[in-house]
Amino acid sequence: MSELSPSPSRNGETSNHIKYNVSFSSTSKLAVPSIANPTLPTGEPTTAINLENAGPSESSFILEEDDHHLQVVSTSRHSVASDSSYPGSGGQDSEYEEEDGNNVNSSHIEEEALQNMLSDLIRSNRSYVNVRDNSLPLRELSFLDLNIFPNTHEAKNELEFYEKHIQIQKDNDEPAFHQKLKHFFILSTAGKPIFSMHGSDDLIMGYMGIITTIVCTFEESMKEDFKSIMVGDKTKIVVLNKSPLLLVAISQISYELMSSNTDSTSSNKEDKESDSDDILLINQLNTLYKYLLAILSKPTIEKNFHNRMNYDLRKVLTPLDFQNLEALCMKLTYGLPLLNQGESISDTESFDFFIGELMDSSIQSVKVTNTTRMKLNNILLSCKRLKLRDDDSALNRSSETASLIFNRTTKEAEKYLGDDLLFSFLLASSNKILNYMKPKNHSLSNEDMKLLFSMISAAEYQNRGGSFDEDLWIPLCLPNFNPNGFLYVFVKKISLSSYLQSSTVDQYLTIVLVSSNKNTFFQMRELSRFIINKIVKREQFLTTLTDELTGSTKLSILNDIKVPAIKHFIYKLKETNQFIMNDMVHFNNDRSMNTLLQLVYFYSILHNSRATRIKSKLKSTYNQQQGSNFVNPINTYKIDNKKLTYVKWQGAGSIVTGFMLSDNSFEFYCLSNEEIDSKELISSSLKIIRWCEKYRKRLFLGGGVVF
Amino acid sequence: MENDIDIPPPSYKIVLLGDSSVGKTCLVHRFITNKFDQNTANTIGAAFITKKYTSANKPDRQLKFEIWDTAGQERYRSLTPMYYRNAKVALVCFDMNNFETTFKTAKFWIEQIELNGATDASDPIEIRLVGNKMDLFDKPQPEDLTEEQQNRAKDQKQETNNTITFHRTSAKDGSGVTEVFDSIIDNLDDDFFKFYFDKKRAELEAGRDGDQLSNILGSRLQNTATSRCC
Ligand SMILES: Nc1nc2c(ncn2[C@@H]2O[C@H](COP(=O)(O)OP(=O)(O)O)[C@@H](O)[C@H]2O)c(=O)[nH]1
Ligand SMILES: [Mg+2]
Repeated sequence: MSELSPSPSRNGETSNHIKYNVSFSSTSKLAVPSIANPTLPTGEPTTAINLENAGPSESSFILEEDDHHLQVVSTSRHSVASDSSYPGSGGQDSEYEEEDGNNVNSSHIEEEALQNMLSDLIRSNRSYVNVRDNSLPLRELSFLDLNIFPNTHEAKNELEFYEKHIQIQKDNDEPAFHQKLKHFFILSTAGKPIFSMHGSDDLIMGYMGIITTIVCTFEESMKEDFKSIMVGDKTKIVVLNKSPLLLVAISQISYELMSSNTDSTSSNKEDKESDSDDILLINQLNTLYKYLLAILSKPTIEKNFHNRMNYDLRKVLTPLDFQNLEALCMKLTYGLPLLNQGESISDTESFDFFIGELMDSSIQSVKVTNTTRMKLNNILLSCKRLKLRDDDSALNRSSETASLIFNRTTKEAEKYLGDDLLFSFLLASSNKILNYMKPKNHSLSNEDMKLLFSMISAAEYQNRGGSFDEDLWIPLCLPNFNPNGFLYVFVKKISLSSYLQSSTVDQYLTIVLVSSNKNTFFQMRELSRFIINKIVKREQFLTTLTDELTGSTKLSILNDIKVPAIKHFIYKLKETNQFIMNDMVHFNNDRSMNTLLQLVYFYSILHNSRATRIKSKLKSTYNQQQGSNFVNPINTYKIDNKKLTYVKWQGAGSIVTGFMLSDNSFEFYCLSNEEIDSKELISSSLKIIRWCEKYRKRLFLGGGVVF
Repeated sequence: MENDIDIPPPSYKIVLLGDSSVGKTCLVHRFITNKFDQNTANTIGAAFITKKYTSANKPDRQLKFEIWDTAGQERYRSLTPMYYRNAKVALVCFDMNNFETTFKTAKFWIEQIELNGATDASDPIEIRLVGNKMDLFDKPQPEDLTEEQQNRAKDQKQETNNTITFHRTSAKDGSGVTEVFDSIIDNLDDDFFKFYFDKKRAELEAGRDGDQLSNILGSRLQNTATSRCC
């Protein structure tokens, strides 16, 4: 498809690139079968073969152009009744033929149908796919092999590439500035710089001219929300207009420009279409904007600029804000944390954030048993029932600091300790949600939650080990909830193992209490002490919780259900927009930058090419089967609205297969870096999907508990 | 004086104020963990940190410090009264190497405390001016300059009713940090402890244990348990 097609210039760079990655050469032969866009050159080192790319000729799919995406409509040959033999299936595909079509179980039906589709798809692409040179042993893949980024400056290794093109650099070095692959700028509509991802203030001042010129060229259309332009065919500029602020993203990163080849064949491209092309960068800019709203609130920003258009917003931003914005830029673009010189990646927070953002502001959930989750929910709920008794002199005296406030509140006839408590969360390692409690008539959007969690992990940075007793009190505007006002967030991180006699692994829990009243710190603190007390009181519960959290971070499902070839997966539940995934360490046995950038790339491609829709006659077959009782929830899938994407990256010595399957209720993504045939891919994927369905209650917390 | 083991040390509330980046958070961390992290993140809002601490000079004196580490930014100022309400000591910090700017902010905070603390003249907040980053202070005659700073601090003292003490610290190499907290304990009246423990003992005799949170929460919960069943 167009979004996967390489630009000629990028091909040029590929050859540069090969110089340094000799073993990589055969990869570049992989081709994009270009049905919709036959003029495209075939030389992209990474090949996406999804159903869109299936050739119509000998395949049993009918391709229809719809919305500029090709729909794949399977013919009756894919219905279960007649699936036993495939036209054109050769000897080497005999593995696909061993089933006899006598399926009584709809999951088998589904599995076979999907397998058939996928193997057809792969077969139809066989002529394009370069067969891997089997004489070469599988070797470790480098993100440089993937040509994710135009490697024009011939970096010799990953670190050098990172330092030249990725790492944030705030000095006066102009050539270095121009070598960066990604830029973000925030400026006022009057053209005053507020923030820049790279470059010193002096350097930016010069650059602002260019930016304002670009902005001026849109002046007419700046009533619009955003504007996007391509400079050449490998740089995209997107401007988001949030008057009095302008936010600018400039990207040269292949996975961010995927759908940006808007010229040539698709001349009838409508504006709406290009909207969705730009959605990735626009979302990124929105995230930066929301950060400013979160710390300042909308009225503050507007008031400041209302008085003087020339106002310098930097005056109210702190060094931490700039650091947080930089961290956001890195997380949004690369899934990387801000690293100090020589520092290596110590946790996966930034990668988790990236995936959540990629999955449309999805929130990462933590797997615990339903019983444990219910117990924790009940603890949160009981917070709301804690009475502040008039004769609570003991409490009044217990803490001198609290006494004044409590006296005051009792005078005001406040009856409950948690009267001002709006939302509460229990988080595992500060960004994964374990429990959520909300009032009946309010809730927080996923975007607000992500902002909140992101803030919490920034604030917790200084007490990473939870080594001392610290409570945080953070005023924050949650813009989707209310862009005009502040909420007050109480944050307390506890180390569970510090309450246990014997514990090998440490697990941290973060208690987050969001209050509507800025004077309720000591009430929230009291509530947090109550929660801690309830959690640690019974050693058995504490041990169980610690063990479950440890298991959850490991998410050993890939071993449990025997899908050895699948190394990494993401399962997203659409209903609540929550996802789970296994630790990135399973992919390459490390958490290196190299692995992280590969995952970022693979999942970006998989996610951004999710254009294929399967309309299958299976539906009717499936309906006929409705009569029998389906016990397994997986059977309730609607076969139509399923989408499937298959991507294979293949180079000398390494191979990575990516697969995406989605329907109305879930999205599933997985990666394998071993040889895996389509049958195993499908059956392993379905195994994981079924497992996720089966343990849905353990994996996801649903909509939270309501008080 | 005898300290009952059963009786927890008295709480003593301290608030750190001052321009951002003068080293408030680093000072607290040095005091709590005896470590210095070059990459300490800036404070968002405020952090409330507690630590039981025994004076190095008077080992029979222990306090439970309740420390508010605040973010100095303007946009958080509406919250600051809550932080110094009930505070016994304000550590108003400035950067010795960025004296003019950060001392001006320090003066601002002292004025704020005056404005707010003036209502309770019987128990005024004790102000301690802390010049931090002493390790960087490599001016030709450091003694002269710190003396000048000290004099400026003394000038400030004349304008205020609160007592002002002057400290020099380095959160980086640790010098002067525990001394600030030792001096806070050492300067306390014997009566302070005597009064506290007498009161606590009286309470204990009356069969009340004011600090047993679990007791309180236990009774609270009984309340909720009964109210839940309907
Ligand atoms: N050389 C030196 N640097 C310090 C010292 N204390 C803090 N810093 C640095 O000053 C910066 C700001 O410190 P921080 O504690 O965050 O300041 P705060 O905003 O007042 O809390 C950090 O980069 C620290 O590393 C010190 O005693 N000596
Ligand atoms: Mg600080």
